[in-house]
Amino acid sequence: MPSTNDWINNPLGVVEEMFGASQNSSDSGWEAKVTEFFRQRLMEKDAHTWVPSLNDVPLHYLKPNSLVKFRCLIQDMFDPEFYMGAYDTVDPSTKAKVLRCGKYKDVTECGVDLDSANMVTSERQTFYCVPIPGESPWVKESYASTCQARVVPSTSYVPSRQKRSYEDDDEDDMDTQPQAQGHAHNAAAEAQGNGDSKRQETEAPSGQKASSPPLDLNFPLPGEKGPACLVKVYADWDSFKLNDTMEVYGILSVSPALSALSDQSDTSSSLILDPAECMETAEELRVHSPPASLVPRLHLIHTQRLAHNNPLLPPAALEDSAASLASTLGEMVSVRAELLAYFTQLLLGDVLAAEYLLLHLISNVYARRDVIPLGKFTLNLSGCPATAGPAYTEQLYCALQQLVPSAYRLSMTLQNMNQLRLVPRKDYVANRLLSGALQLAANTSLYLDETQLEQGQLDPAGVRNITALGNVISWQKVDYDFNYHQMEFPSNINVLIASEGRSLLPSDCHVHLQPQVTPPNMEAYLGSALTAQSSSQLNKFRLYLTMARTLDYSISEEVTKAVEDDFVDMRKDDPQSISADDLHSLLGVARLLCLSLGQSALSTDAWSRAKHIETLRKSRSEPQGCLNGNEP
Amino acid sequence: RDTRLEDLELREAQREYLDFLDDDQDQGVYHEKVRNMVSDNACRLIVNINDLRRRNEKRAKAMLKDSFGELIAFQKALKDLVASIDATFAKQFEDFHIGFEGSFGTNHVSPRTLTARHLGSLVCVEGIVTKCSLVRPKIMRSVHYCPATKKTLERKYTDLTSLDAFPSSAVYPTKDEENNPLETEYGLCAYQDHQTLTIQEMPEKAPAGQLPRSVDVITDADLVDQAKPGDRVQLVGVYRCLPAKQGGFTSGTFRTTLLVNNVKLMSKEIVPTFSADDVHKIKKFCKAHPKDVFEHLGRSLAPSIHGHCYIKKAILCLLLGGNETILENGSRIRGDINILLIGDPSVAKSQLLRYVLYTAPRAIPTTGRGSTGVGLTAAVTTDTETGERILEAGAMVLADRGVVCIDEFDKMSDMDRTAIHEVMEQGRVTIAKAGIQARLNARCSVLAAANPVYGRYDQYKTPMENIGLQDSLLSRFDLLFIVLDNMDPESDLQISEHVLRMHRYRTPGEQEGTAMPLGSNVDIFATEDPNITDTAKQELKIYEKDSILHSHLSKKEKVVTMEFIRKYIHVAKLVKPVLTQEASDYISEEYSKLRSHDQFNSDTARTIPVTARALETMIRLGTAHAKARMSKTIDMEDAEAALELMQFAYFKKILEKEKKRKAPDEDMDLSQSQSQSQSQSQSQTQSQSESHSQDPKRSTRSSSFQLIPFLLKAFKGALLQAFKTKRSQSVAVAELLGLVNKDPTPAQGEGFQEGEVEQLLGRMQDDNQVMVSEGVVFLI
Repeated sequence: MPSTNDWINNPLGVVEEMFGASQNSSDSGWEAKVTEFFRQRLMEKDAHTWVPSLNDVPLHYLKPNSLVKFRCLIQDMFDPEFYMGAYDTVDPSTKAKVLRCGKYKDVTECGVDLDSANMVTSERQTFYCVPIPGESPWVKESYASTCQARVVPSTSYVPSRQKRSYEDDDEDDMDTQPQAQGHAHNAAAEAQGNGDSKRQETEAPSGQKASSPPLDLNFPLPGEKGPACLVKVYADWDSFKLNDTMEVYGILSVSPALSALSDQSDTSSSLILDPAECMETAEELRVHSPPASLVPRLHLIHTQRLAHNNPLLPPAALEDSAASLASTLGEMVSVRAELLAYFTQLLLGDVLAAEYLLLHLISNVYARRDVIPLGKFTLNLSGCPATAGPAYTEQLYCALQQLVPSAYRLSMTLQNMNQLRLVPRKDYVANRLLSGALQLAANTSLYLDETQLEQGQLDPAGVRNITALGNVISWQKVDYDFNYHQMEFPSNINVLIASEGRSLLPSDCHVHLQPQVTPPNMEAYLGSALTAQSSSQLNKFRLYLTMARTLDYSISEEVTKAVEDDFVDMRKDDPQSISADDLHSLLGVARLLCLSLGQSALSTDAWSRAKHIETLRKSRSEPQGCLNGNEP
Repeated sequence: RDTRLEDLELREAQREYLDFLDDDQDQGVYHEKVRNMVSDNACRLIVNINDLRRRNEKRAKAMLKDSFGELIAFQKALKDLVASIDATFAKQFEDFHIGFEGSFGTNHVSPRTLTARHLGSLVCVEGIVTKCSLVRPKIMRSVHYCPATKKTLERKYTDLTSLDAFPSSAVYPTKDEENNPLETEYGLCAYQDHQTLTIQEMPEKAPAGQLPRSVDVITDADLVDQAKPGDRVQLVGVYRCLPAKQGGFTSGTFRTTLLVNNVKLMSKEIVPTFSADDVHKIKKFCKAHPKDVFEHLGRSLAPSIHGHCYIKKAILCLLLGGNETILENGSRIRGDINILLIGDPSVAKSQLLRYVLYTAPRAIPTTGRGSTGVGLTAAVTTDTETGERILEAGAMVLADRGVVCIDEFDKMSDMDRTAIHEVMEQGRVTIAKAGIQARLNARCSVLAAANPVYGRYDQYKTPMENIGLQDSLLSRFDLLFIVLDNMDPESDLQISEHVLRMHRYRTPGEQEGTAMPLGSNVDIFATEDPNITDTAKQELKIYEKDSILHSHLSKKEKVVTMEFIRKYIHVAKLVKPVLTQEASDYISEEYSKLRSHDQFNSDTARTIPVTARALETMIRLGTAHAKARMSKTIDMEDAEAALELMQFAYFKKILEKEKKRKAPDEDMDLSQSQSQSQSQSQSQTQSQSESHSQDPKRSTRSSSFQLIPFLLKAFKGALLQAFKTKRSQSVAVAELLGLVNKDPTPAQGEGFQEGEVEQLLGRMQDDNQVMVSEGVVFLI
């Protein structure tokens, strides 16, 4: 049996062993055994924290062919690929045939016997994965600090990697000293302490880039950093969906031979057409087999779907860990009050707006009926003080970013609107999905800063972008552009619009800000509010927001009856005051109010409270609301 | 295996295939086909796999499973047969090809379901062509002459795309063994066209949340350039895997490709896939509800939107459509039904539009504001790079034979507003601009939503004023609905119930947005005529089964699933009902009643001008209703249903300012408003019509009223009498009404109406007998 940590450092050894055993015993279920073995290992207490993560450890510190994890979003799905699942190799000197396993590997051993009857063709699927777009810095730090994997930067890593790829990996024991579990070192801290390794970090990728033009890693949001990864999936790939977020555990493969493949193409120029060659354009080749040093391959062994990417909560669905969170549930009311106070301060003393902001942050599309998404709550915060310039909206975003796991601020300048690609588009030349800023993971906060919009002309691309934003807000879906047709992908994005007047985009709820205080120096005021929060306080808030969002909710029969009667009564008094749509939004507000208080069922109190704040809000926006009669 | 044995098998197969082709004794179908091929100078014979299966099942099985060897044998057999028919023709071609069509069973796949299992077998793949390479010639045979030795050398080239998978040396000879230079005899070399395509899975077949997959295919010889990017195609070919690159390093992966032997373009029409069982169910459903099938379907449209049952019915009519007639002189009477929804913000107009987008087989969404420069119809644009002029199709052209959903219709640009006139009636767009003259078909139904002129519907103004669109445009809409936010405790309760139910609803079992299992759409397994094959993977559900959502509905009010409606509409659309005499009499009678309607009525006003188009509308709606019943004839009940819809849509009450009467709840209940209007038409006469004449706009509109000569005569008499009693040369029109009806003569019947008087006066003015000026009549 493999020793304690071998399954992390040398997972392929485990795989080979099981494969070998299956050949003798004619027991065919070895593949299931492998995944089960790793799943069991990872289930063990804290075991998953020993696995180094691609998210926070630079690629060249990771040992090739070791087990790594990667927290990511599926950005693109490539076509399935056929590979040799099992094959015979012939030793040139002894002519001895050895049966090999091709699973979890990119490169086959030398001397493949192509005519062997033992050859098994299998299928696997490749996903192009990127780090979760817009992930807040605090999330990254928090995940990195919980990771206990100790990574030893080896000074000889470059030669060892090249050597390894041509040699047999299995007997390789370089760098594989068993690592003591007690060393709970922080990988990031270590990297900083080690000046030598820092130098390597900056140099390693630059050598690659010099030879070929920089590769577009196709991140959804501009200015994102981090590794992209080709994840090879061996089973059950139909259960994965585009834009799923997950943590994958797999075997890292960075064989330079993979990059060599792409260089080869221009050398073979013969008069006779190579059928394989003219099928794949140069661009496609570049995209589908980029240098492994930039885009490593990961052979997936185990996946953990992420319902959220908040490091403070266990990643599994809430029901499983309900017991451990019971204490937090009890605190919800008090945390809510604190958070409300904090928001009130941020929103210049406007309590109502603060309440709506809180409700907005815990909203979540929980179901869809026909075409109508339920649970969305787009907030339009108008009346943002313009005199302070972009400072106010920017600071507000910073404050929100500190609270939510992933967020993105889209400054709606004319230039951005006309030039940014919001909607993902299929590029048939390179055969990939060019990402757009709206390809976001579920529950990402999209912060639209409309105060930046100036007068001017929108070109057709700009109009399309605005339409796309409108679609996201109204229907929570994005129409991906496939050139010959469009495909609809459901989204679950929390959109917050900050504007001076009422926004040009539709919204579920429009609150006009009424500042109670007018600080002379806005920046200093907000800055002090931001820094005043201790990190433990912030953690409480973060935990609260994610918790409230995932709570279950129901409406009992009695309350249903009461609400119905109430609605009819309201209509009786003044039919103009409330319509079916208003009832929709009222119920939405009531739901969020309940969740924000940690209640999982609608109460009459919450209903009347929802009615109260809605009336307050409406009375505020009345003078502006009348101007625009074109709500959807 | 032994090569001799293989050879023997090959020869045996070849003989059997020759037997199959040389079917002179049987029906002679393929013999005839081969002859045609020879006379057409073609080199490809299309064989239906069903025929092969019928004649020689063993070979058909082998063909599907192990196609390479079989195809070689088949093509050799074909060559032999061609040689026996026309020996010189056979020499013209290097190879004769066999293409296949027919039912492929489990080998009928999409790029997603094409798996390693299919390697080496004959498959039929459906998809959209997304990428085409250039057509390049590939050398098949080269002939070389050596001037030194005076010898000629011939070389054949095969590569991995040829059927016999043994690639020849890829080296093009330039020197012979003794290193003497060789000259290529270009005239004697044979080349073949070669093209690679990429086929992508069709969007409607990809499971939710997954990106469509693609597969590379290779076409050669006569099949190149058969498909353009964007075409939907069915390709029959052999799935083959090509070993990864030779030399040094193997990645252990393979490239796969499809060697195509038949290309079939599919129609752009997206046809829902049917099984025989589906059709049976649809027929049963229709029979089970002889009386209320229309009601039933109408109610099931957009179940998430409460009420609006007349609008839903109208939308059902729109989806079914009328009959298009093309007259002998080439002009066309449209069968498409156009609907305009107008009303307050937030009354689910956009949601109704959205629902149609999901239900209709081809629907294009757009907004009146027109998102891009092309607009609704078509535009000539200039390519920024080449400077070439391009004709770009707008939404209505793209929606040809479908539905175009226009939101915010009132905010349309003037250019579109003029262009749309032609499209809505003629069903085409004519462009004569920038040297381009074109006529594009745009035979689409229009479903438009608009906000009233004043943002909110003003109950005290006439519908026409509220709508604010030209009559010419309005008359092109068959039905116009005013959707109002009305107050009524009963319906409010229903609405609130409905909304709450939605909020309490949770998707049973599954998490939101879970990937749909594959095969949720039933695939057709044949290249043609899907109705013959009855391979329904999934049973078609007729009724929705959500306990929370629909528990309140009694059994009679069950809601039909969207999938079922979609299929039902598709089947029902194929019916072409004919008008019966009875129904046509009824329609013409009701038409004249409609025309004269507002003479009887003061309280309700028309929403759309009633023109001759209204007659067509009635027929169209009747046809649609008959289609819903799957009846071959348009009967009385269809005509009645059509009229019911029209009466609901055509008239709208105006509130009178002084009285502030509540408007009846029209959206929910038509029978009420209809019965009211009928009772009003009998009881109300001139006394109330005075309030009407305050609206000069309205009265001028009914100018096309047909005058009956004797009525005119009677009126002249009455008028003269009126002037006599007044003893003056001028009388106000309002006053006149009272006067002429003071003592009705038998000829007048029940007296003159407001509108009639107006027209009669107009007629007399034309004859220079009176002069009407500012509501005062002068005797000349």
